[in-house]
Amino acid sequence: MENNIRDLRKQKGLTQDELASTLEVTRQTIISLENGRYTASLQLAFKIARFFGESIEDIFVFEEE
Amino acid sequence: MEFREKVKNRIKGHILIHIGTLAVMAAAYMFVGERMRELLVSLAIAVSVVKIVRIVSDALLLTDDKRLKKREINENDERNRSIATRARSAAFLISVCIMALAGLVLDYVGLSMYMEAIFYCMCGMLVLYVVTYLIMQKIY
Repeated sequence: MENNIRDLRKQKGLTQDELASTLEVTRQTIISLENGRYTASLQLAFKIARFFGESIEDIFVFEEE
Repeated sequence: MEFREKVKNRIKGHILIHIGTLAVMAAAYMFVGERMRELLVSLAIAVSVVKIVRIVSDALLLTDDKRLKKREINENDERNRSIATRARSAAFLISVCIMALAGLVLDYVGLSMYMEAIFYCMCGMLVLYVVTYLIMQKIY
């Protein structure tokens, strides 16, 4: 799923490792999320949205197949 | 349960399994025929070595908070869990296919007894899959 995580992370001046530590996931998960190779669970999506102070819809782009 | 407690319980589990493995080795020497004995002892040694490594690794983990936190994140990471689930699923499917193929080959070369054993195992696994699926449907 496409998302703006990379842009939001860079705006906050965070490395992937720092973001991963804050969200309590691995750095590989952040890399996969940013590349759109992995779709976050609802729980993780909420965590990310809360961290960046945005809504889920503003971060994740839902594309109907 | 806190992760530190989880690791401590895990170490206790490893120790119990290690003791059980040594008991199996001892029983193999006393009660089992030579061919089976070699197989059981080899298996027991392999399990023992793995358990000793795990006990030492987990014990060292308890002495380093940073590594403990990193291990906790690795184990609870949703992507890692998702990968593990998919890997188990794929391994099950591949195992069933290999067993089917092996059964056919064994029957072709005249080892029907082994072919039957493999097919019974395969049927058991498939029945278990269906039962587990139905139970999980009720739970979730």
